Amino acid sequence: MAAALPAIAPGRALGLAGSVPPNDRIVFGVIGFGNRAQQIVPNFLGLPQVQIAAVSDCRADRLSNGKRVVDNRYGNADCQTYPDFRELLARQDIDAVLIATGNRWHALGSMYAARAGKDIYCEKPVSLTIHEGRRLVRACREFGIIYQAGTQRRGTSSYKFAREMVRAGRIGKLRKVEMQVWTGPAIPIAKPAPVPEGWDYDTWLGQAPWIPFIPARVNAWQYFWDTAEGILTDMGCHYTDQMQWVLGADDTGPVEFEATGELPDPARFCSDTPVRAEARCRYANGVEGVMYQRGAFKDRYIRYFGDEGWIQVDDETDVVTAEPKSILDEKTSGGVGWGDASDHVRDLLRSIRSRRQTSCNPEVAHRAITICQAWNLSLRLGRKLKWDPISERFDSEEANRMLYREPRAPWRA
Amino acid sequence: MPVLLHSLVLAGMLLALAGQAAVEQARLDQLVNQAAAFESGTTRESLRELERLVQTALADRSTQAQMEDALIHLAGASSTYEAKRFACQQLGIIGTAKALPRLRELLAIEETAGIACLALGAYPPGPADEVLRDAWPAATGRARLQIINAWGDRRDPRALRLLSRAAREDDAAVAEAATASIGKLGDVRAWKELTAMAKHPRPEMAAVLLEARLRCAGQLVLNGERKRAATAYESLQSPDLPLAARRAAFAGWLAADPDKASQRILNILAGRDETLKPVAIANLPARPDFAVLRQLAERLPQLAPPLQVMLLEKLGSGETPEAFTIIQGGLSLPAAEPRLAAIAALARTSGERAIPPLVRALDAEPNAVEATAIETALTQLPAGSAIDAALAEHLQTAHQNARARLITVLAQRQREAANPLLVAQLNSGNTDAVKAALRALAKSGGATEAPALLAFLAGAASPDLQREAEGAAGAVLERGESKEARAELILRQLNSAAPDAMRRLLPLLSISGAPKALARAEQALRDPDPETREVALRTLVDWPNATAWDVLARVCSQPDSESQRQIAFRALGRLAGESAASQAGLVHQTELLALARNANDRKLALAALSGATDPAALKLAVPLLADEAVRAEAAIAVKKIAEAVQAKDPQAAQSALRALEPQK
Repeated sequence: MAAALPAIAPGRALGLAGSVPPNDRIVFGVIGFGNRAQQIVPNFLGLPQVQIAAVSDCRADRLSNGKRVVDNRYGNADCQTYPDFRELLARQDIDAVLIATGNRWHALGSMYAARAGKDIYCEKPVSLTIHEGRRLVRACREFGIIYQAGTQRRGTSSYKFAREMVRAGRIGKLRKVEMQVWTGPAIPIAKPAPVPEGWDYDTWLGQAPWIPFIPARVNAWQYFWDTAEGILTDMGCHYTDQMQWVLGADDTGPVEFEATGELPDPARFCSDTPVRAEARCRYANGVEGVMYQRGAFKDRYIRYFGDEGWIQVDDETDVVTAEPKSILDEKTSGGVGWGDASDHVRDLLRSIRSRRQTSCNPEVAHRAITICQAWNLSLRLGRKLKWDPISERFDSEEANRMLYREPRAPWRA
Repeated sequence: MPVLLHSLVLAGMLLALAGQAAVEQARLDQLVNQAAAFESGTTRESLRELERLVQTALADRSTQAQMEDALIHLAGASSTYEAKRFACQQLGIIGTAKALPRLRELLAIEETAGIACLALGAYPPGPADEVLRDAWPAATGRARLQIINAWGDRRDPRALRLLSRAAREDDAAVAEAATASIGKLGDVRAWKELTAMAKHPRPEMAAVLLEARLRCAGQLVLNGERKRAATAYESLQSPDLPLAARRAAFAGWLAADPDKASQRILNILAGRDETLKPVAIANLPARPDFAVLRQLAERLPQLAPPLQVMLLEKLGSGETPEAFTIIQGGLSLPAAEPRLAAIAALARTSGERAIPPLVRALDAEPNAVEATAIETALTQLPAGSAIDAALAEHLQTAHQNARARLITVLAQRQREAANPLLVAQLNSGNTDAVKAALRALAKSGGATEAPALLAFLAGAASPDLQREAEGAAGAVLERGESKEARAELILRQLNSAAPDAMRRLLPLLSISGAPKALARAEQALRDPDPETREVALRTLVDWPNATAWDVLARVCSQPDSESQRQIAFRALGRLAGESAASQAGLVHQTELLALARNANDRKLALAALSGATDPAALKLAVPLLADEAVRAEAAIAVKKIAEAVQAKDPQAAQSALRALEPQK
C-alpha cells in the first residue's frame, strides 16, 4: 500500500479544460506496461472522463516507462508506481484497472482486481484455460464487477456493418464463417540466463509452472503452452468473438471441435505451440466455423458465407468486400477502425456508470476464447471433441482434465 | 532436418510403435532416460515423442498403463526439475491412482509442490484429495499455500477442519489463502465457519473474509441451497460494505430468493439510492407479473437513459401485452439509445403485432441509423405468411420513406415470392418505392419478371430510374436460361419500342450475345438516327463473344468518323486478346494488325498478340521490333510469345529471343 496518495488533480491542471469535474472522473490503474499497453493506454489517456493514477509492472524498466507516458500526458509527476500490483489494487481511490499483462495474468489478475472491487478492462485472450474463464465470469458476478475484454472489434464500423448485413439476410442463410490468423514463429532453443536487474521474474511467471529465465522465451511468451496458447488463441479470439456476435451465440458456443497443426521441430526450437493449423467447429444449427493459421500477418480476415453470397472484413486494412457487391452500397463511409479502441473504452465507461453489461462482458469473452482453447485441446489430444456448451464439458475425460490448470502458489484464482 | 520431414519421420516411428499392442519397452526406457536429463536449452525431441505416445495411448488404452509407468518413473528423484514438470503435466492427462504416491512425494517438497498440484488438480475427486490432505502436516513454505489453494479449487469438504485452523494462523498469507478457500468450498458448514470468523474478525482479514462470504453464498446458490444462500446474502446488505460488494450481494440475494425479488426490485427503483438500480433491472425476472410491469411502465420515463435501455432489453420479447406496451412506449422516448433498444426488443417479438408500431416509427422519418434498425427488425420477424401479409398491407398505406424500406423488407423476407408485389410497385409512381423494387428485383427477379422490367426500362422517364432499371433488367437477363431466350425477351420489347426507348434497350443485347441479338444490333448500326447508331456501336463493343468480330471489323475499315474507328478497333483488340490462345486467335491478330492505322493501334494489337500460344504469332510480332515507335511493346510481346511456345517450337522461340538481344 502506498504511504501517501496523491490528491485527484483538477481537470484544468490535467489539460482537460475542466470539462469533467475531478469527482466525476473514473480513476484507473494500469497493470502491465509492455508493448500492448503502449498501444492501448493512449485510448484511455485521450478521454477526459478518465484519469490514470497509477501503474504497476514487475519490470522496473516498464514501470518507469509507464509513469513517463502517463505523466507526460497530464503534465505532472503524480502517477504512482507499484512493482506489486496488489498494492495498486489496495488503493481505495482507484475505481478500475486496465490489465495489459501477458496472457497468463489476464484472468488471474482480473480475479484479483474483482476481489478488490475494481471494474476491469482486460486485454485478450481473457483466460489461459476454459475453466479459468468460467471462474472469471463467476468472479465478476460474485463481486459485482463491470468487465470489458479488449477484443475491440465490436465497436468497429466495418465489423458492425458486416454483422448487420449478415443478420439482415443480405447473404442469405449463413452457412460458414472462415477466419484467418497468421503463420506462427518458432522460437530457437536457447540457454537460460541470469534474471536481469529490475525484474521480478517470479511475479512475471505468475501462475505458470516455474521455468528458468530464458530471454528468447520470455520475450516470446505467446508461443508456449505454459504462458499462453499460441496464435490460435492469442489472435484467434478476435475473430471467434465476431463469429459468436454475428451468430447471436454469446452465451453458448459450438458443439464440435477439430484441429490439426504443425508444431515446431523440437530438435531446434523450444516453442511448443503450432506454427500452422487448421481448426474447425460446428454449431448445433449446422453453421461451420473454420480458422486457418497460415499466411502473413497482414492477411488476417473473417468471411461469412451465406447461400446467396458472402461478406468479408480484412482485419489489416479494415476493408469490407462482398458478393454480391451491391451489399456494399449500404455501407456508409467513415467510422473508426479497430486500432482506435476509444469507442470500446467508452462502452466500458458507460457501463461503469450505468452498471450495464459491456459489449464484451466476461461471458461473451469467455465463450469466444473457449472456442480457441477447445481447438487447442483437440490439436493437443489429436482427436475430434464434442462439447456441451451448457455443462461446459467435453465427451473426452482427458480433455476435461485439461479444462483447468492449478495455478502456482502463492497465486490463486 | 526440415520440420515437415522431421514430422514425417516421427509420424512413421509413432505408427510403428502404435501398431504394436504395447510400446516397445526398450525404446520407451530410452526415451524416458533422455527426457530425465532434460533442461531448458537442450533438445525437446524426447519430450515431444513422449507427448505423442501419450496421445497414442489415449486412443489405444492397452498402452496407457505402460505410459503412466514411464511418466511415474520420469517424475522420480533422478530426473531434473524440468523433466519432472513435464511428467506432471502429462500425468495430469492420463495419471491414475497408481501415480498418486509419486505425486505425494513431489508435494512434500516446496520446489515441486506446484507441479505436483498441476497434475493433482486435474484428477477427479477422491484419492487425490486424500493425498493433498495427507501431505499437509509435513508441508512447508509455498507448498502449504499450494495445498490450501488446491483444496479450495477442488472444493474438498473434508479439508474444512484443516482450513479453519490455517485461517487462524498468524502467517497472513496462509490465513488469507485458507479463508478464501473456505469460501470456495461453498457449503453450509463453510458458511457457518465464515460466519463464526466474521463475529471476531481480524482487521487485516476483513477484505478476504468478505470475498470468501460472497463466494460461499454464490456457491450455495449453485448447489441449490437457496434458503441458506438468501440468508447469507441478506447478512451482506449493510450500506457500510464496499460498493461492489453491495451490488454483488443484492444481485445474489435476488437470485437466491426469487419469490421476493420483484418487490425488492421495485423498492429499489422507487428509492433514491441509484447504486443498486442497475442491479435491480439486470435481475428482473424473465416474466414479471402484471403488477410489476404496471409499475415499471410508470417508472420508465423517469429513469436515466442507460437504465431505460437496460429495462427495455430486459423485457426481451415483450411476451405479455403489458410488457409489449412498455416496449412500444420506448419508441417515443426522447433519447436515441432507448429508442434503438425498443426497436431491437420489438424485433424479438413472435407475432405481427410488432409491425404497426415499427411501421409508424418508419413513417415518422427517423434518422438513418434508426431506419436501418427498424428495417432489420422487420426483416428478422419470424417467417410466415401472416406476417408477410401484414407487411404487404402496411405497404399500401405507408408513407413514401417507409414504403421503400418495406419493399426491401418484403423482398428479403420472401425472396422470389415477393416478385409479383415488387413488379406491381413499378407502377406505384413513388420514386423511392420504385427504386427499392428495382434493386430487389435485381436480386430475385427471373424470366417471369423480365418483360415487366424491360417495359419499365423502355418507359422510364428519369435518368436515375433508367440506370436502376437497366441494372435490374441486366441482372435478371444474366440469370436467363439461354442466350437465345434472353434475346427473344429483348427483341420482343424492341419491336414495339419508340426510338428513345430503343436506345435504352439496345445495350441489353450484349447480355444475350445470341446471333439474333447480333443481327438486331447490326441493324441498328444502319439506323438513320446517329444517336441510335452510336448506342448500337457501344453495344457491339461490349459484345461477350467473337461473333461480333466481322461487324466491328467492317466498322473499323469503313467508319463514319475517326472516333468510331477507334472505338471499334479497341473492341477488336479486346476480342483478339480474349481469343489469343484459341485457333481463331491468329486470324484475328493478323487482321487486327492489318487494320492498324498508327502506332497506338499497333501497340494495342501487340498487347492482344502477346497472349498468343501459336509459334506463327512470332512471325507477326518479330518484324515489329524494327518499328521504332512500337519497339518496346513488340519486345514484350515477342518475349511472352516465345516463353509460351518454348516447349512447342524451341527453335522458333530461341530465334525470336535472339532478335531481342542488342545489336552489336
